[in-house]
Formats: sequence, structure tokens, C-alpha cells
Amino acid sequence: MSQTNSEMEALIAGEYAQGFITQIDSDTFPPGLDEAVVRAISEHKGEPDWMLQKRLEAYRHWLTMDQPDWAKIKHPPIDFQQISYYSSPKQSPKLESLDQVDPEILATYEKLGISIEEQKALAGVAVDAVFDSVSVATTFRERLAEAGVIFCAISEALRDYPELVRQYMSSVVPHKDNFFAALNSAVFSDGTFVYVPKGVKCPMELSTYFRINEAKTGQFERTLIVAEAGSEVSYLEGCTAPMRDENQLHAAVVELVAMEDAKIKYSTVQNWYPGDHEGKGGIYNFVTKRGDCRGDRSHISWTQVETGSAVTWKYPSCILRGRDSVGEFYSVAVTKGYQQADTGTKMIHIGENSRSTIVSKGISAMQGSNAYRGLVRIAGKAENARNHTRCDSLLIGDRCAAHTFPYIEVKNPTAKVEHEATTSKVSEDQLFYCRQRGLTEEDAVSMIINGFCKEVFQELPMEFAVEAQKLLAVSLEGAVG
Amino acid sequence: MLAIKNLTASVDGKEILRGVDLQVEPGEVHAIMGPNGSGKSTLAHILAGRDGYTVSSGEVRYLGEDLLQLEVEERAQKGLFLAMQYPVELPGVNNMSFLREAMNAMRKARGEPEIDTLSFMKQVKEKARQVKLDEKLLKRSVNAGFSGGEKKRNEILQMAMLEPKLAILDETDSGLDIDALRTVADGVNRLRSKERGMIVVTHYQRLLDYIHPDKVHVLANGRIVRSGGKDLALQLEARGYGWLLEEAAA
Amino acid sequence: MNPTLSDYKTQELQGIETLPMSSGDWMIDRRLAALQRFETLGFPDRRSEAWRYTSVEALLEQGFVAPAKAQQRDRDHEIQRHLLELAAVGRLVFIDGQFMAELSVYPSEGVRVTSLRAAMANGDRQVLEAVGSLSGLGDDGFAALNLAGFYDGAVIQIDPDIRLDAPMELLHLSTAGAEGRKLPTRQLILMGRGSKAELIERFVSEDRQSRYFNHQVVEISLAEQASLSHKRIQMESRQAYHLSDLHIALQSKAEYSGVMASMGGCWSRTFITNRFKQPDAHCELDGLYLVDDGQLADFHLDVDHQVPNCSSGETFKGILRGSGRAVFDGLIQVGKGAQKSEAHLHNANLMLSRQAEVDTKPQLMILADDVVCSHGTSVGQLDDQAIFYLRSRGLDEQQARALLCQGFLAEIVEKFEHQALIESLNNHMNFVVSTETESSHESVG
Repeated sequence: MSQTNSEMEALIAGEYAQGFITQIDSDTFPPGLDEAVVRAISEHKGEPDWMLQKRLEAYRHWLTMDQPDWAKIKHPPIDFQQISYYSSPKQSPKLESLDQVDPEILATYEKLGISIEEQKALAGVAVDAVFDSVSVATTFRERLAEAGVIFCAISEALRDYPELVRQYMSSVVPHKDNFFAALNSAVFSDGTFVYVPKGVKCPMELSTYFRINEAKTGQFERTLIVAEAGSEVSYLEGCTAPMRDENQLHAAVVELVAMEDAKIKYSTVQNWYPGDHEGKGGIYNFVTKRGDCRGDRSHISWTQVETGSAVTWKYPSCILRGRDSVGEFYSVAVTKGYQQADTGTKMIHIGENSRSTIVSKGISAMQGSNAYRGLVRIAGKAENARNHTRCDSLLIGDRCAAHTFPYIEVKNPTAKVEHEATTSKVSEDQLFYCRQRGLTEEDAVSMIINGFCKEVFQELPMEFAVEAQKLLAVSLEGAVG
Repeated sequence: MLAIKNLTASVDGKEILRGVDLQVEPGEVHAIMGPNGSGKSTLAHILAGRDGYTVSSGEVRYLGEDLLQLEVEERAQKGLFLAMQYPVELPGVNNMSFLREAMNAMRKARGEPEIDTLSFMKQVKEKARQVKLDEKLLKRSVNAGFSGGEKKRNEILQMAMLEPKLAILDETDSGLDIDALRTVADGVNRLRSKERGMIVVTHYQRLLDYIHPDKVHVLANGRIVRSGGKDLALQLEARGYGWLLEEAAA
Repeated sequence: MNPTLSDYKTQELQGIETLPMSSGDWMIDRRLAALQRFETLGFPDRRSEAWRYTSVEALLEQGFVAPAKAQQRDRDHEIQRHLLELAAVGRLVFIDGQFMAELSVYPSEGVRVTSLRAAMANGDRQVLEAVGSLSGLGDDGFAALNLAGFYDGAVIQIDPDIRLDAPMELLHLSTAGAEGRKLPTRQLILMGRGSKAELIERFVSEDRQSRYFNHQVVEISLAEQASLSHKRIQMESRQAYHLSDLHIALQSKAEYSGVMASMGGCWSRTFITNRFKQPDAHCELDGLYLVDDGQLADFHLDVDHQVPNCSSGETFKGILRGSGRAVFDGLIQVGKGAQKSEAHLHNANLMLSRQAEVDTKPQLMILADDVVCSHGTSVGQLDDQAIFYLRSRGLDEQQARALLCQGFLAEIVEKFEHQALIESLNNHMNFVVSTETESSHESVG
């Protein structure tokens, strides 16, 4: 119970971030990045030396790399020396009650059906001592511990389970993988570690939702999920509520490892600040997410609903190494205003009978630009590999853009690969049909768009799916008609 | 309840309707027959408010209002229902939710509260049974992957649920086998009432074996060239449209 | 050691001096500008997105620096065996890239054919200025080098409202004289308002083993309401390198339909760009490719809708055998304001061998909303059930496979329309023999 008390105190103080050592709470490094900064991050977090060495190696490699320029996105150059690579959790101004919160934000919360307590937490209002999430989180922790599931901050894991982390970290996304992965590997702030032992079906959905304040782990988040043979876990990331964040650049790395017969389901709802009406500000989200289906019959499923950020650059991928392994990618990406998204997946088939499914639904509205970029590679040894890709884009308004860039590489004559893509606006026939049945144009459009996304939403855990649907409606408000 | 006067309309500059007059009163069932390309479907679409048609003259009064000034959904909310020749597929949109949304939109327009789930479910199941629509189809996406017959039954189900004041059935019989035709006709007959007007647009007489119209009109070259009782339909069956066209041309 | 860029440059500079000179300095200036562009660009490599899957290493190693020598004598007897029974209104014969006036016949009314070599000799500035009007100086090193060094080709002008009711054939024959050399030539096809024509281009080699680099740049411009049916069959020697750049520009209500077959060569790439210049035009591009041991076939399409109300359709199908490789890259672009665009692209591949590889990359880039665009690609095998079905009807397995392969390509083959072309394609495919050799060392399916 003592831990719970301190957690609660921290929550109340609004400075809580799991795994951070108390004395550095007030520290914020001056902007800039060099070896000393990398060393200082590691030192502040009390990391083992091997972690520091890994960070340094990544940093040195990062120095030799250039920012990728192939994606269909445009943004002013990022000055990596203007970023502060370590800061204590942001202190939002304390508010007395919800009355002091911007009514526009409250209205959004209302539409999304977010409970009053959560609204307070999200808006940075001092919460009551009996804050539901805390007790819920505690109960959850106990149940997880009983099952043997580790679910903690990665900095905590580095302290408590260093060998486990060492074994898997960077084994899926090596620091040399790409520019942003290298940067993350050098300076990652914190993140989540999940370990599900052999044969264990995780007794509940794991969610950053239950770590609302902890979710502010900053711009360089690192997540590692390991599912041992025969285990199962479903992980939810993000939140439908619009999250304000002062950090413009986000460069997260997520690694998933699924051993024999293991199943990992990773769901994301991303609704970071997209910038203002003129396209100023907003989060640049450069994420590297990759799952390794290491064992036979392993299964990794990515589902994402991307509605936020000014720039999104992410390709949650699967390396299908195991025989009969399965990779899935379900995505809804919405860009409106001046948002740009270049997102998709890679399915690398190595194991025999490996199968993958890709369903991507892009919605572009106003001046939004949305690109699907995907790779399906069937290696020479991947006998009987199968892929099916369905990739649809919906256009709303004549100033938006939708692009589709699939790459299909096949080196095995037993493979079956199918890719289909369409781009169009909401059909006049459908609109007329709905309106003839009495629906207003706006309701009709929203109904048709929800239908368009259905295949993806139904992959989300139930309560997330409902939220996602509401989120979509709120996101497209004003963009339709 | 519906009065069409000298309606002239064109598509892409091509004149399709050239002065149509038609009067429908509550309780009446009117059949509009005619050869392909005579303008039957155009008339149905214009009444429902479909884009893409230019009305150059004439007027349409519906329940005392200028129908052509109303938005598509306003017409629907005022009880005008169009059962379509080619019902549209709505992928991902659940058939039952769609039906409920539509019902509630109508109720809202009339200032009524939303229908409660229980009575909605009861009604929809009962009516689906009546039109012999497989209950499984209620849980699927609207019309997506439905057979031709299933789509038409679904249209009739929607009509039964929405209880329109004026129902227009556009070639509802096209592509149906005899069993489906009978089921659809039964569904229509069940809805006949003193308050409700109906316009049945069809190319063939055979639908009229099951739905007995009060009046039959023949539309040809954009005009109603002949009106009469049920026997007119039988005459057409026997003699085709040729003689009427000749007469009209003469 | 591969030749260096300056080896190529030196050769081009020498070559330019040997070309007919009366065309005046301005032509030389442009060739020099192209040469400079070549020097800037160099040859493409796989870091360039357009060449991601196609290595030019093997081609460069061959060192095709020098162009083929000019033909002097009458070679009538040599072309006879390459002729097909086509009810053509005209035939233009090119041997080793050089236009053979004595072997060529064409209608005099409404059709003007000028060899580029003759245009150079006569200083026909109007014709020469049109060369490069669609391609520019070149988007890659190869194209720039072609403009710098092309030595012949033809300009075909069809007058307004001339409607040819039978095809014109362009026969491109390569002989022993091309061995080890490159054939940089250009064709320019200008169709007047309301004109209609059909062009059949065939690329054949005298010797099945000759090794040379055939590089064609073709520019096709269709005025309002003009219509061109363009058929191209590449059946060159199995050692040949073939590169074709086609640039198509369509004015209002023009219709272009092209169908391409790539079957010969060890390295063959066709790059087609279509530009809609005005609304209401239509472009159809279809093709087939068949690759076997040591062959690469590459098709790149770039169909650009920048004006409203145009439509395009592309269907490419390929069969891969032995260690064959295929690359398909099909881009559809719809620019801002190009409303009511419709574009559909499809690519299907049959992969019949363990050593084969296919890379396919359809792309959509859409900046307007009132559009209907789609693309689809597939990679698969012959259907076991279909093979079983045919066998149960008495065919042996090889026959069954051959039949299914033919069936797979049939929709494209049919687009070649003329019986003589269809037969020639089918003979060349010769599925029965090939599947035999294939099943002798491997059997997959």
C-alpha cells in the first residue's frame, strides 16, 4: 500500500512520472545534444553501464545519418540542437475546477464521452483524493502480478529486470534502423515495458489509459513488449482525448517480440495536437514500430486510429519469421486542416505459410494530405506466404490529397499476394440514398465514413471502438459539407 | 396530395420529360408504365430530389408545398419514400442501425421522441418476417453483397418501417423471380391505406397482377400519352407499347 | 572496367561531328546541352526511386559506347523473313536504327514521313525543333545521351482529318552490324486534328544471340479528336538490351490506346509518360511481358491527369519463368482541379519458377476530390483446380499449364487485333516447350 500512497501523492502533486528518481524532478537540461547529454540522461536515470554504452553507440551512429526525405511530408527543418533532451514532467498550471478550463476543450471531452474525473486529470485540474483510476490501477497491478505479467515503466524495468530488457531491447529495431530510431535509442526518456511469461493470457487489456499522467513520458518514448511462448496480450496506447504537448517532436520506438504461439495485439489511438487553423504548431510524430513474429504460429496485430499530429510518419511493421506466423495491420488515418500523414506498414514474410492482412483507410479533408506507404516482401524461403491488402482513400473537399504507394516484392513462386486500392469521394448515390431515407447530409456523410472505417474499428477493443467512432465524428466536424 | 403540372425536365441538355401532368390522392395507387427510356425513372428521381436534373418548367405540389424547393431529406421527412430500382450499397453501415437512424430522423422532424430500442427491435423483426427478409441481413451492411431480390425486400422493409405518406416504387419488380415478386407485392399491398398514396413505376404488366392500381398511366417520350383503369395495363400486355406510340405521334 | 562518363562524352562529341551538318549550329547546341545534362545526371542507379528495382550495372558493363555504323547497301532480301502478313497501308523499315528509304513505303496522301537523318542533312529546322519537345533534354542520363547522340529515326506527321483505315508498320531490325553497339534513335509522331491511325512497331533481331543496346525515344502528340492505336512488340535477341521512352501528349478529346509486349532481350525497360493537355481525352495502356532465364522486363507508367474529365486505363500482365525478373511501376497522378478524372490500373503476375522475382509498385497520387481511381496488383500461380479440371478433360499437365498461361495473357494478346501479330506472339511464347524444360528441373505451382 505504501507504493499506492506515494503514487497518489504524486498524482495529486501533478508531477508524477513513474520511474523518475525524485531528486531530478526539477531538472531540465538546456537545449542541445552531445555525448555529455546522453551520458547525463543515463546517469540521471541510474541506468546500468551497458545501457549507457548502447545509448552512446546509437548517438554516434545518429551523427552519421541524414533525416529521411522520401516521405510525402513537408515541414520546416527540425533543429535538433534546439530541443531539450531531458526535462522533468511539465507542470501544467493548477486549476481549481473544470470551470476554469477552456470551454472548447470541455465540449470536446463531452462529445467523446469522457468522465468528469478523467476530464479533470486530462485538463490538469487538481483531482480529488478518491480518484478512480488510481484505485483501479492498483487493483490491476495486483492482478497482473498474480499472473506474473510485468507491466511497468521501462526505466523501472531497467532497474528491476535489467537482463530481460537487455535481451530484447533493440533486437527488433536496431539503433541503426533509421534516423529517428537512432535518435530515440540515444535519448529515449521513458516508456513501457511488458513481459508476459510462457503460457499466460494477460488477464486484462493493458493500457496507458490507466497511466494517464504517466503517459506524459515525453517525446522520446520507448516501448518493449515481450510475449513468451503461448502467451497473449492486448495493449492499448494513447487516448482519444486531445492531448496537448509542448514538445513538437515525438520520436517513439516500439518493439514487440512474439514467441511460439504467442499473440500480441497493439492498438493505438493517436490524437496529438494537430496545429492551429493556419497550420502552425502541432506535433511532428516520427515513430518506428515493429513486431517480430519470432516463433512459429506467432501473431502480431497492429490497429491504429491516427487523427492527431501535424505530421505523422509511422509504419508499424511485422517481421514474419515463424512458420504459420500472422501479421495484421488495420489503420484509419485522418488528415484535415494542414495535417500530413505518411503511414502504412511493412510485412516481411520469411517463414513458411506466413500470412498477412493489411487494411488501410485514409480520409483526407480540407488541405490534409494522407499517404499510404506499404511494403510486402516475400522472401525466397517463405513457402505459401499469403498477403491481402486493401487500401482505400476517401477525399473530402477539393484541396486535400491522397496518395497510395505500395511496394510488392516477391521471390517465391508459391506466394499469393493481392493488393487493391481505391480513391474516391463519398459517392453521390450513397448520399442520395441516405438522404432519401431522411438523414441530413451531415449525418449521412458521417454514417458513410464510419462504415468506411468499420473494418478497422471492429479490430479495436470494444470500448475503444466506440470512442474511436466518436473521435472520428469530432475530428471531421466542420470538414464535411 | 401530389399534383404535377406540366413538368418539363432535362439531363445534360437532353429533354427527358416534356410536360407531365399527374394527380395523386390519398388512398390511390397509380401505376406508371412505359417503354424503356420513356422518362419513368427520371420522374421518380425528380420527385425524390435527385441532383443532375434541370426542371425547366412546371410545378409539383406535395401536401400543399412546392416540392421542388425542398431538400432531399426534407421530402423524406415529410413522408415521401422512393424504393429504388438499384438500391445503393453502404459498406460498413449496419442495416439495422441505418433503419433506426432513418426512423429517428423522421421522428425528430415530426417533433417526436426517438423510438425505444425494444419496440424498434420488435417491429423490425416482425416486418422483416413479413417481407421474408433473412434476419441475418439485418445485421449486415446495408445492401452490401445482397442479391437483387434481397435488396428489393430490404427496400420494402424500409418502406414498411418508415410508413411514408407517398410511396414511389421505381421498377421494384425488375430482376425478381415470381416468388420474390409476390412477396414484394404483398409487402406493398399490406401498406395500402386510405391515407397513403402510391406510385408504382414499372415496365411490365406482371407486377400489376399482384398490385391492383386504381389508375394506370402510360409515359412515352416524356409525356403521359394515355391514362385509364386497370384494363389499360392488360391492353398493353396484349398489344405492347407500339400502338400507343403511333397514336401519340399521329 | 566500365567506360567512364567522359568515355561516353568523347564518343558523343566525335559522333556529332560525323552527323550531317547542314542543320546548323542550333542543333549542335542542343546536342551539347543534352550532353552536359548527361554529365550532370550520370547514369541512374538504384538509389533513384525510378530505378529502385532495375540495375543498370549489367548494361553499363557491356560498354555500349559507340553507335552502330551507318548502313549503305540495300538489304531487301534480309527483311523478307521478318515480315508478317499485315494488310498495312505502309511500312517503315529501320535497320540498326537507320531509316531505310528504299525499303519503306507509305501513303502519300495526308501522311508525311521524314527521316531524321534526312532532316539533318536538309536542315529541316521545323522537324528537328519538334524533336525533344515532349521529352525535354532528358529525365535521366540515358535519355539525355540519346538526345545528344541520336543518329536517325523518323518523323511521322498525319494531316488533320486523315483517317487511315489500315495500320502503318514500323519494323526495327537489328543485324550483326549492331553487335556491341548502341542504337540511339528517336521517333516523332504528330497527329493532326481529327486524324486517325494505327501504328504497329516491331523490334526483331536477325541473330538470336546478338548483343547490342537499342534505345528508342518516342514522342507522340495527338491534336484535338485525333486517335491513335499503337501496338509495340519487342522480340529482340535474348542478349539485347532494350530501352524505350515513350512520351505521349493528348489534346482535347484525343484518344490514345497503346498495347505493348516485351518478350525478347536480356534487359528491357519501357518507360511511358502520358500527359493530358486538355480535357475529355482518353488514354489506354496495356501490356504483357514474358521473362525466362536471364531476362528482365521493366514497365514504368506515369499517367498524369492535370486537366479535368480525362480517363485512363492500364492493364499489364506478366508471366515469369526460369530466373526471369519483372518490374512494374504504375503511377497515376491527378492534379489539383483535375475533377471528374477516372483512372484504373491493374497489374497481374504469374510466377512459375523458384528463381523468378517480381517487384510491383502501383501508385496513386491524388490532389482532386471528384475522382474515381483504383489500382490493383496480384502475384500468384496457376490454379491447381483449373489444371486438374483440364486434365480430367484429357489434357496432359503441360498442355493444361500452357493453356492456362495463354488464357492468362489472352485479354492482352487480343488487343493486338491482327491475326498475324497474335500468331507471332503465341508462337514466340511457346508455352508447351518451356513448361517442359521447366518441369524437368523444378516443378512448382
